[in-house]
Amino acid sequence: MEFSHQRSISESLLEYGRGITGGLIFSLPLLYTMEVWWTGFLLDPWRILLYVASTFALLLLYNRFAGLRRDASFREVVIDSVEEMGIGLVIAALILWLAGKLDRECGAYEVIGKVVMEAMTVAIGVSVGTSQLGVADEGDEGMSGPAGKDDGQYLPQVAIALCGAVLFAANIAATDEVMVIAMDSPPGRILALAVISMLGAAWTLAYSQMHGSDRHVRKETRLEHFRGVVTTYAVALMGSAGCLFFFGRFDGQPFGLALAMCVVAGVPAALGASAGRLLLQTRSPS
Amino acid sequence: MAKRETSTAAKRGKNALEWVVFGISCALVSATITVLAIHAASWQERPPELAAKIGEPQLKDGVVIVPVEVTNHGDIAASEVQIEVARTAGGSDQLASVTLDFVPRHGTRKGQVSFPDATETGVIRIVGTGFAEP
Repeated sequence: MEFSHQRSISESLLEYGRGITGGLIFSLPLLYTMEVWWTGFLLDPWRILLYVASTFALLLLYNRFAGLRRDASFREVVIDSVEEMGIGLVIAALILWLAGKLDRECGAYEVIGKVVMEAMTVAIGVSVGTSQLGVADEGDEGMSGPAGKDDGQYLPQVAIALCGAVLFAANIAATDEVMVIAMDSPPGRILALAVISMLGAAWTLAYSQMHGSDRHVRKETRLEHFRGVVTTYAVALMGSAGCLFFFGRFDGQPFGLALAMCVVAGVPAALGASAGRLLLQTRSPS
Repeated sequence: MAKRETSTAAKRGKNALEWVVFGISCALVSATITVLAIHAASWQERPPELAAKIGEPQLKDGVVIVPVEVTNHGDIAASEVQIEVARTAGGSDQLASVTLDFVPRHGTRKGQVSFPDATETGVIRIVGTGFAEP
């Protein structure tokens, strides 16, 4: 089998170490959130399976478009994604066990449910950590490609924006606070949250001069600028809706409240889809 | 450019450690999906079905301590599970209860109740269980 790289064992150990660090950085709030532990036994197994499949798809997208090796084949991307899921499962199980949340009282299904619900975000963090926390190896081209310049292609950027939105929204989507804010806020305030999220995304992408915005954001025309902002917010809402669905927050809720929850969780998701999206690609050479 | 050509020409592939990590990851992910799939196939959305039992009562410093164990045989978790325990001794009845946040599907949770001012353990029985669906 042909691979795009060849590393020594010590280099691989370093890369796994960076991945584990990234996994912990991005998922520690989730690992310490009891609502996420509960979803492990409150959700039906079909939804947990769907969560695993969706996370795997997200990992494939991230590894393909922003991963360490742009020249990697699809098979390599699949192998990397499986590895990241495996590392995510081990980290989640270890942290939950150390926190005393996996004990002899827990049945097999409860253990698997808890570990899986935590491990998926850890796996995305591992993927981001692996690709962003290290230095570029020879032949590892990241998103930039051989030409060294990424012109902000639309679909890859949408995919990375979705990863950023999920990574940021997942940290709060499971909490009761999202529902409390959505319930307590009048429609005008929910609308204000949506407008602020969009303005924040527009500023981040077009005016903040954040690292990478010159390469990853197309803003040559007003239409491209507008399309970028609208798409970013739409992706943020999709990411927040996905997180809320997979953490069971929509169950039994009326449509209006579910929508308000999407907007509330959409604030960090919009940040993830704009600023997070640029951060997830910072390793690309300028 | 020369560096790049050298790199391309070099033998490429995963090292032993990477293959081991991939193998273990494959096994873990496959096992997880298999267990979830088996569970999903047998899942029927049966409501919580609680079975409560009491353990061996202990008399200590004039207090009877009774362990309580609740198992949920249903497919849906039960929340705010309340177990009410009665103690009969010397012709009088005492009631005590314990509330458990959750009892997961096919899971077990433990708690305990206590009865003060006791000189003997008496006869202890569970008189009621209640729960809410989360």
